[in-house]
Amino acid sequence: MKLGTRIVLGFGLVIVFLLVVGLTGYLSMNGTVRQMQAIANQVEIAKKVNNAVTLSQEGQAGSLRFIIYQDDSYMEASQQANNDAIKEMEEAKNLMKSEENRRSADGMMTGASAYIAANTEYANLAKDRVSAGQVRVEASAKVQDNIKKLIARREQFLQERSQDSDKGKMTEYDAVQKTLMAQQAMDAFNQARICAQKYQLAITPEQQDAMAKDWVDSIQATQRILGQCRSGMNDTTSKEYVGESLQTLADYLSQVEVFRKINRDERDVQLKKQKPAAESLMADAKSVRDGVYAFIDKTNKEADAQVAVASLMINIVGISAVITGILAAIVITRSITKPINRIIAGLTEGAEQVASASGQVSSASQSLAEGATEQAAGLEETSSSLEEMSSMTKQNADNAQQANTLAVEAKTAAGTGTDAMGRMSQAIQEIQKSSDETSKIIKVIDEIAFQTNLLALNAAVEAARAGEAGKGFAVVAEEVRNLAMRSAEAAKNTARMIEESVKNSKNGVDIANEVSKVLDEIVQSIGKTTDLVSEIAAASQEQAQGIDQVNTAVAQMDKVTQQNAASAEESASASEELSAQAESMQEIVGQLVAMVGGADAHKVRSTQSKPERHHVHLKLEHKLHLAEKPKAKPCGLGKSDEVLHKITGHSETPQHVVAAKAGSKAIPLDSHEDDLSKFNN
Amino acid sequence: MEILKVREIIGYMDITAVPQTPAYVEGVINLRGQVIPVMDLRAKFGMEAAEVTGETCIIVVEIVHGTRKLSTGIIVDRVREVLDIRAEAIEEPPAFDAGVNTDFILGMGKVGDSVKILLDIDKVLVQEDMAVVPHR
Repeated sequence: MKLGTRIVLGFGLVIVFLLVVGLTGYLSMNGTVRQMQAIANQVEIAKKVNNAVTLSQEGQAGSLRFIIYQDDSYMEASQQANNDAIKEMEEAKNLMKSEENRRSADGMMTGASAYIAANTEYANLAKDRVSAGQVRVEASAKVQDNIKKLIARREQFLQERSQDSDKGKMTEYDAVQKTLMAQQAMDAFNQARICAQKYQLAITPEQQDAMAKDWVDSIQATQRILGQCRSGMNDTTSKEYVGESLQTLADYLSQVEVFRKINRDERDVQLKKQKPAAESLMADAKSVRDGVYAFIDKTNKEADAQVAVASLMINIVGISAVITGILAAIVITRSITKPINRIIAGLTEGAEQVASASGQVSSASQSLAEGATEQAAGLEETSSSLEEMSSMTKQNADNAQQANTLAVEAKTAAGTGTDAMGRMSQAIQEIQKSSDETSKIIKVIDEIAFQTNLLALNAAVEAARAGEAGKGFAVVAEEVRNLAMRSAEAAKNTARMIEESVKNSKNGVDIANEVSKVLDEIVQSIGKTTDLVSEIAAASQEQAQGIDQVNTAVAQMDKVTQQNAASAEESASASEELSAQAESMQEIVGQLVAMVGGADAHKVRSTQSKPERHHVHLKLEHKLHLAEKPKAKPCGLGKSDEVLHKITGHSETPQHVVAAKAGSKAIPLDSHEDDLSKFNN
Repeated sequence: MEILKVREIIGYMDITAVPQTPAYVEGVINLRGQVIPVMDLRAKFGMEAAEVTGETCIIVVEIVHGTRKLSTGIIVDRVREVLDIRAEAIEEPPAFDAGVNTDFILGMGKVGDSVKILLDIDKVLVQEDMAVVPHR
């Protein structure tokens, strides 16, 4: 991987980590923000619900005040408050997310509406009551007026009657009684009016009913009294007035009934609609609030949990990002610095080696120059030796020729000998043959002797069998046996002698063979000698040629020696250049080291001192010429020239190498030195 | 052996081997029209077999076995001579170990300084199981 790529990779990793951590944080933040928004929402809802509850309470308070003070403004305020409560709850419901809470809100709003309706009804009834009360009061006033009129009339009547005191005594009591009755009626009616007040002041329904009963009783008492008053009344006007009073009283009574009804309706509305509505409204509002609070708690807990999770995530991601980042940094830095360090080490080594190599080159050039001098001296000796060799070779050739001739002669003689030997062998073989035949015959004789022996034995047996008669036969048989034995003996002797003769002839044959073999060997040797001698002659010829070639070669070597000296000087200067290059390379390496790290500077060894400058002063001032040419004719250029070219080529190599690869190890100094040592030898 | 038992002495001739015969029975020969069984005395006595040389002969003996006359040939290495041995010069065979069978020795004949074993050819040719019992 390239260096730039590694660095980019390192930075890229860092950016990736940052992105990962940032993303995690962003996501966590988002979640948290959402939670907070939800909470804020819930808080808003709670506020509104609280407001609704508060407003409901205000409404309740207002309506209660209205009930107490009968001031319309209270009722208005209450209704306004209730309506506002509904609005608030509506708004809260719109913000709500929980179905349960929404249902509770709906319930509350329905309750509030019911309450508002109850309130309205109550308010209307109150108005009716007020108006009914007014009418009643008017009616009551009318009744009072009428009764007052009656009383006034009765007073007037009494006045009138009192004036006529001489007419009669009976009617005055009735008149007075009637007048008193009128007064009583007034009292009763006043009682009724008191009851009316008490009725209106009554708090509990039971009290109200009790007061109502009293009231009605008072009115009925007034009616009764007025009725009694009218019966038996003489005064028509009074009667009229009583009738009017009764009428208006009846009117009043009906108004009282109306008033009572309205009051009862009011009570009903208050008890059966308003109060329950109010209570249920409060209950609903509170339940909504509780529900909302519960939801808030829940949301809070969720938010906390999420926050915890988010923070944990961020922690984990952050820590792992840090660790991974550190590891990656270490790995990448290592992977960058290690190869660089390696390269530095290699370069330093190379520079050192180049410096040492240049030293070697200069010393090599010096030894080369020395060698050249020695070479020149050697050449002189060589040429004189060659002279001697040439004359010796000539002699060798002549001698070889002579030897050749002699060898041919010997060969011929050997050939004759072999022929004689052959003949001798033949003769001996013939002797052997005749001995064999003789031997065969002897064998036959032996056989005959044996059979004769057997016959003699058989004869002896028959003779023994014949007994006395066969004695003469036995003697004969005995003689025959003797004869057989003698002949067998003779045959044996002859066989023996023949064996000996065979042995001797065999010997002779063997010896002849031996001699023949020896002669063959002689012939072979002679042949070989002839070959060798001819080879010697040819070799001498070649030798002479070779000597000529060597002469030419020596002349060339002389030339080359001079060239070598020149090359030695060139290579010395080249080695100087080489060491200078090595120095500059070391400087560059030092720069690289400084760039990689200051501590590494110690690793680079101090630059070697400049290699000794060998100025190869050639002492080859004398010209190297060969004194005399050898006698042998110079032939064409042989292998020697190849060698020379190689040597020349080698001398020039160091320069090229220095120019091309400063600091590389490809200087074949070792092989160069080998060539020089060859030269010196 | 007694000379009278010897019918003839002939040189070695080809023997026709007969299968299913004991080892010492070499085979049969045709002697002037007569078929005669031949046995190897060496094998019979349990000695090593010897090569057939130029001197090997077959001695044709005639023995009386019961009422019959049997002609049998025996292979010998060499026939040296016919000797006259006087009855006084014949001794009884000496006693070796108890396990040694000396039935076939007719006697020991003194001839000059040496002693010749005289075979009782009847016993030699008739004792079938002689080759089986190891001698020596």
